[in-house]
Amino acid sequence: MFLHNLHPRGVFRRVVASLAVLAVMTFVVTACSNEAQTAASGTGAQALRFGLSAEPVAPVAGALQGTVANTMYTLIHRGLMAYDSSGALIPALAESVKTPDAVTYVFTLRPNLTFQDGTPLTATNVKNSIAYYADPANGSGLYAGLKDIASITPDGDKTVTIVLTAPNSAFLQFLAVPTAAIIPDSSLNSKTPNWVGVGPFKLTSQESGRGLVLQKFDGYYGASDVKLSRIDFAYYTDGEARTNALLSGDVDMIDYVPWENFDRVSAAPGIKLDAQAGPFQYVQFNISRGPFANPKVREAVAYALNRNNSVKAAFQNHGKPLYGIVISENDPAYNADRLKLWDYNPAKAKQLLAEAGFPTGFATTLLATSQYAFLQDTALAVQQDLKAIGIDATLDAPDWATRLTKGRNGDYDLAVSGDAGIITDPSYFLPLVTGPNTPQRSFDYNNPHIARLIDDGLRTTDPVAKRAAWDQAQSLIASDVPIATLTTRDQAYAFRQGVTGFKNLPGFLTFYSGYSLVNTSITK
Amino acid sequence: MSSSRWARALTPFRIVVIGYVLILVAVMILAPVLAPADPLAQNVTKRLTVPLTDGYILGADELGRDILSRLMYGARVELFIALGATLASMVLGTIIGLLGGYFGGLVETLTMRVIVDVILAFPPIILALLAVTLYGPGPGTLIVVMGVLFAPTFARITYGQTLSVKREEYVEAAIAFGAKTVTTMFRVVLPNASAPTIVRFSLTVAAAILLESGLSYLGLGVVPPTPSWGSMVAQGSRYLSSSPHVLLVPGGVVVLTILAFGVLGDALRDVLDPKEKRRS
Amino acid sequence: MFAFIVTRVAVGAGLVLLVLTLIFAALHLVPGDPAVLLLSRGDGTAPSQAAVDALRGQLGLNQPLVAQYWNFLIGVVTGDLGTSFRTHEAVVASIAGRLPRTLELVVFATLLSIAVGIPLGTLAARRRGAVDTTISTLTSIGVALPVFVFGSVLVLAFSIWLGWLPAGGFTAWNQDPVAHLKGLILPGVALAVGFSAIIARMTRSSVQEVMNQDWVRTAKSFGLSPFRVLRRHVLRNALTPIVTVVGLGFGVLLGSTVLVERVFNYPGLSSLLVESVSTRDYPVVQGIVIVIAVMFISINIVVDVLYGFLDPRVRR
Repeated sequence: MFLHNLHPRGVFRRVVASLAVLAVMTFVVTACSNEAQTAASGTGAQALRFGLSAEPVAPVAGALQGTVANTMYTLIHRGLMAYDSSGALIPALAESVKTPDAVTYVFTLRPNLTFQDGTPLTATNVKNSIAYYADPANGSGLYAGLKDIASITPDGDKTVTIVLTAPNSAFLQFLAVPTAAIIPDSSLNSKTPNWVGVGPFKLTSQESGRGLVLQKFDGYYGASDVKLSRIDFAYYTDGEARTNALLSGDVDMIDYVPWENFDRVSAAPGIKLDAQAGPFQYVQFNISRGPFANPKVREAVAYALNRNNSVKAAFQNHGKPLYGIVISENDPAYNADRLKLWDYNPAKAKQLLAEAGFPTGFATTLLATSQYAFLQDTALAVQQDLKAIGIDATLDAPDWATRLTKGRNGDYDLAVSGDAGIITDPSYFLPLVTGPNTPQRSFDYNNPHIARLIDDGLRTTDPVAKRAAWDQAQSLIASDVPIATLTTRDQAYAFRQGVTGFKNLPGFLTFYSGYSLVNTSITK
Repeated sequence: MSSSRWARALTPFRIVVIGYVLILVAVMILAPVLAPADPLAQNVTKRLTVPLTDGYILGADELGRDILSRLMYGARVELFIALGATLASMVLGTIIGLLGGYFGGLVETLTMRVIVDVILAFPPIILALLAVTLYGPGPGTLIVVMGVLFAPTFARITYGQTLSVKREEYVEAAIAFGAKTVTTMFRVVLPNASAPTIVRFSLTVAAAILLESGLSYLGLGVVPPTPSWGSMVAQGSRYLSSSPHVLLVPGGVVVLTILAFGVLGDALRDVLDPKEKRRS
Repeated sequence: MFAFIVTRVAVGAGLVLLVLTLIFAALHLVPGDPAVLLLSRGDGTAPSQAAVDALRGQLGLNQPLVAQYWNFLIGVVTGDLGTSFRTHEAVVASIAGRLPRTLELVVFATLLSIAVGIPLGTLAARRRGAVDTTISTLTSIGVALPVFVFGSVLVLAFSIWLGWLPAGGFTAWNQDPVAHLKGLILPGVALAVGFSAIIARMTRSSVQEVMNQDWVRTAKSFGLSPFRVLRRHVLRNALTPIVTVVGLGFGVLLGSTVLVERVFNYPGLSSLLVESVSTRDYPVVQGIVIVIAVMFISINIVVDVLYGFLDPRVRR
């Protein structure tokens, strides 16, 4: 990059002058800029230095803004419900929850709740926040879960009663999504950055590109149990740089350990790696055009995928092959006999292709992204699997923003994706079989039959009925293949041995592991 | 061009380097014959195999692909991009510089101020990012982007040369004899102004190889699974601590090749443009 | 003189207008919707169309393109570059925070390159043979080394294995000056390696050339000590082309910071640029491009005007 700018010599004086001008400008700019004041880095005994995988965007009330935003929400905010370190659903701002019947929830609030700006949190705040998230006009990511609300009634200062139009077995899970926080009325719009909460930590300073500082909020209802006095977040977007920061002692803890560094991190002395099977990877189809409109072809793809290879190629074996739908073992819908909707069977895949009228295969495109190496590696593994059955897929690897637009507009034939439910109830799968097109689901795919079965499972309070509905739904998924699932992938946090009490939550909840920072302490 | 000049330019070291470049070109042409394996064939169970084991002469990458074969096929992609970009920038830059230098005045402002300065005023990475997101990543886009990025260098060289050549008597004679402007520019001025450009060519090829690796590191390179050296180096840097060969093997080839083109440039300069000898 | 300045400034203003029109057009042509990205970052399900539309309205993206362009121009003229889509921070403030860091890194790397390159080059020129060959080989490799590879190796060696220096990041001066300087070393070195190699090569050939000139031989024959000749006469005369290369390389270094800032997680202007392009944060991208363009173009104008004062012939 240097070579091309060597120059004929006549420009000497010009260059000296340029340098002088530049020097003056540097001086002026440096003198004028006020380096934002962030307090001295972690010298207190209970200050945690956390290397974060991205810079959080300004939070918008109700919006689902990704992993890092979730971490911020779990620390700054609280909703009526939350998760404990084992991943169990617990009341949070609510002291207790009573369900006198299948559609009524009575929340009793903890006493003396105060927002971080000093104003008291009232039952009316609860009503306003939840009503805001339940209104589709606000475009909240929680709308799907809260749309069944018929009424929210604050009774006096301490209790709030929510009545649903129909039973919803995942309702409390939706309230435990970190984004379902109770926030001041002034934050209930999409303009005000949603930084004021009732959570254990409050934002005291932030500096774009570098990091932010959270300090313990003494008005938090459980403040006496919170051991960390502050958390200094530093942004490390590059996975390699993040790992290096931990290994070299620049930070005490990191999230999102890159898979190629799992072994290196766990082998490092004094460092602990905490990994949990998190999201799942899959192949999505554009069914509005071409061969993938035919379910047989989609099924052929599902049988063609060598999932063991994908786990190794994309996640260095830190994941599991996935032959069906991820359903938590604790959920009534879980059925050990339905774990394998498909298997790895290229012969069968070829036969299915032939039945669909493509005995010699065809050429197509596979959308991935150049921005995330694991998606690209997944795509390369899938590309090879497809080639083996005669489907010749050309890779399309734009940046992530373009990838999302193409996904949304159906500008692809095949695509590789990763996803995780915001709740553990299997109804998280619903947006993948019905509703408006999104970048993550098969374009124009709509199967009302599967959608109804999933909804039945959600509505019933009877575990046996739920399982029956899901057994049937999975049979349909096996033959209609809304997506061809590929692998689960481990999500890992890593920290120095002096960091104790932190737990990576299991399954999809890994993205809410910030909840367990409440119980975390650190010794130097 | 005297033979003694050739003799002085061709030191034994430079002959070795020229040999290396010739071998590269041969490998590039004969990749399908020479490569021990399919450069795209994955064998994930053999991923990150170290060199000289299991039949992988230079080891296997993170998907278990043969690194040697990828390097051989990668030479094609790499040199195609580097040579293409250099040619593009040379043509573009030379025309800009020639026009600006020959006509002066408004044309000079348009070419050397507006075009060249606008290119230089744009951060290179922005140009690359925008072009790649607009037109999709691939050799074609890279050639265009790097062609534009490197054009100002050629423009300035040609501009300077044209200015000095224009005042030579033979140019003035040509004009006096009524030669057409285009003829004068391309037949008389250009050949006499082109020696430093040719020297620069080789150095720009080297710079292009380096830039391609940088763009690949930022995810703006060629689309996988097509092998290019830059993308191999970029991918390999993720495995620096665990499997360094995935980085070091292609990295070594990149360094050697850039070195070779640099030396080639020096040799060319000594032959074509001895008065430039002491410059760089 | 006055007319000359007016002309140059007018051309400069025209160039800036051209650059910002190009960047505006290019950004809005590039696929990717900032609103979608803001509402669905990285993972999770996609946002509803209603939410996307609402946010687009708020960001002003639903206005006709011409109106957006006009507002953008008005903003630039009044010194308001808008606010970031992502952080809601004023673009001017973000740039003011980041630019000095990148400039500091580049200045540091340049000084380092000079400090290493000139002595190495001089040494190579004076001592032929093995020393020359070694230095020439080293500098050739230095020029050929991809900066991100060298940077990664530095981190591995000095941060992970030896633990001497931080693996990356940035500490402000007013927080901890020592940590600030320590954080500058590795990225500075990574940035400087290629540049110092170029300076060394330049110095070598330049010193050789001067040493071959008659007056140097004369000076030697008068019995001046070789060191004195070198220091007092040769270096001073060889410096011209070296300074030229340094000045031009400075701009190139600014471009190379993209890779270095990434490897070392250095929160400078380049990393902000990359991040903003990938999140389609239009105001920030536009702001950075304008600032860099204005810097580049105004330096050129100031230099031209200075020239005009010094050398009246320039004012054609």
